[in-house]
Amino acid sequence: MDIVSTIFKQDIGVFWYPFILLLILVFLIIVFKIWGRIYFSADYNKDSDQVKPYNSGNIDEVNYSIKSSNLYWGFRKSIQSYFDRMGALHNGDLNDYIKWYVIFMGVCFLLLGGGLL
Amino acid sequence: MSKHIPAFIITIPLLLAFLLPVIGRSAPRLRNLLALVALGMVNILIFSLIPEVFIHGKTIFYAFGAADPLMAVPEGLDFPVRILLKIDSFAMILAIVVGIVSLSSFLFSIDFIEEDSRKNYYTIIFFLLVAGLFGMSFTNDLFNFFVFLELASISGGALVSFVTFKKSPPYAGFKYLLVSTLASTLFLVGVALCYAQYGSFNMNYINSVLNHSLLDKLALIFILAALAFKAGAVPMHMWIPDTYSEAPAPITIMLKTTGLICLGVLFKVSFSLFGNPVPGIVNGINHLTLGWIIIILGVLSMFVGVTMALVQHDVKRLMAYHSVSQTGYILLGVGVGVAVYTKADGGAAFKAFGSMAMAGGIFHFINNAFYKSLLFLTSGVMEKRFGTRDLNSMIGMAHRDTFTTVIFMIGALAISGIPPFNGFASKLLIYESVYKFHPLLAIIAMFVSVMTLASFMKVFYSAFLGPRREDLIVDKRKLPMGMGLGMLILAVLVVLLGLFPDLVINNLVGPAISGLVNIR
Repeated sequence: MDIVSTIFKQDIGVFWYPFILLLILVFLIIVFKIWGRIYFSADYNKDSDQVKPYNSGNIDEVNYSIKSSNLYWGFRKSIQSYFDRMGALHNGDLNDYIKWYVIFMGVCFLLLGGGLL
Repeated sequence: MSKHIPAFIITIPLLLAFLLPVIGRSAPRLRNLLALVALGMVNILIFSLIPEVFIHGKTIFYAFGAADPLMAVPEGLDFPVRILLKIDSFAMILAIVVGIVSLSSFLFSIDFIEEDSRKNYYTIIFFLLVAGLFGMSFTNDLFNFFVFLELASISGGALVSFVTFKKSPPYAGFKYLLVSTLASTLFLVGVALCYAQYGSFNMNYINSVLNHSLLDKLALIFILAALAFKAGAVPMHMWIPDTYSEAPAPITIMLKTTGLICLGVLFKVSFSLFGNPVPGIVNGINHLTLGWIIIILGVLSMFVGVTMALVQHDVKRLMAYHSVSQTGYILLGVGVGVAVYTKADGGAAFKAFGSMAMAGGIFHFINNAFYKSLLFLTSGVMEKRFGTRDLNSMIGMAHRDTFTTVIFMIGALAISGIPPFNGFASKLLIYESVYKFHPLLAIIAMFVSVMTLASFMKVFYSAFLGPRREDLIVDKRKLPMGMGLGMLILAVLVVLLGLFPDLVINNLVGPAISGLVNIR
């Protein structure tokens, strides 16, 4: 196998150079390490307040994080009726799940067996 | 010996299932070592078939019990009667996925599943499941597929409840068993309809004499619905989050693989069993309709899966919904291929974009098996660390588990279709080809990808970022080597498949499509 052509080949309809991507990654890691050492590590002091999360206006320093179930609240609220309906469908009852199986088979029979399409 | 390799791939796990517990009674470490060696050996055997199948383009037939195992049709008969394995390029892809995921799963479970007297039972059931999955991948006989499906389903049901039964009744395992039994029973009805007409279970033989009767259509519907149900396509997906979330992480990835193999066989059925258009038949099986049914299943799976995932705060339920969503991409890609398969244009549409859509679908099948398994394993580490699956109770894991954090990032970026990981390559193929079939489908696929990224950002933010909270950590041990290695194998594959997609598409996926499709 021609390794060079494999690495630099333009294929599957897009420009794709994995070797160059790897070089960029290595370059970025080196830059990040050097830059981080110069600008961050010099004045880093783990015994000071700088290691604590900055949390403007919130007194509770431990439980400052937004809970997972509150993330994307706006998105969820805007299509709440969809989620209510979907929540009702995923009720854990296997009888209800099987109903969908039967409905799917019925639709398939109409479309494929009955030749509706 | 080399001609018996297909038989060894199935029988080694089957024999070990009964041998390992005997060793495990006195030497659990030796049992684990032997199991790993055996799984490694099975993988080597599978890879040893690659040159013959993919490079030389051969299809290997193996007849159990025949004087010459390579003699598919016994003398004096018109069709095969023995248990027959057919190892073509598509079956090989299924077997490669099963082999690698099984190895990672067992490596992970060495330290993940508590070592006690019950671990021997775990090993028995695990290897029976692996044997069932290899059998499902290789068999060319509908009834044998049913038998292997039952083997995998019963083992899967037992493994789902393996840990949960300690603290709560094994509802999830029972639910998995009921769902699997229903699906396999109705699959058997479809098989019976074929046998009643043609007197054979062999897929190639049935395909060659198919007459597109109403009974054929009924058989197709029974088989299609059963396999789509097992694969977890919407609207028959609701059992997936209920069972995947309760199973131990290494077993969840085996269940996921079972679903994927059912999906693979669904494609095999669409092309190799019922994909034989007979000239002159007016009301035959309409592949455009069949393709659209698969596409609609795919679009619904993508959309419903990702929207439901976005609002979950149980990490494993969230990932189970994503599993449904990713199944949708595969269905979409291959569905487009099915839809244009028998179009009366001499295969022009299929060559123009149908084969590319199928390449995307099948490549996504491989990718999905690896990155989804990787993500499920990381969810297992999260569950172990915090003693809960609730994302609301997790925070700052990156401080403690840097390795798991990087592994999770690789999986999350891959599933979201971010370059240079493997999800990007297969999703791009699907977008490009599906756009030519119907632009709206490609737009939905891209939207779902954005939602997937949003969902995994939520997991990353909730579980990995934030301050270090030692008080929330239940398991303070260093990450065991087995668990780390299990994840590392999958992560390396995710990166390699993303960096060199052309190698996989040209050498594995391309021949697999040729194995499935025969444009007339």
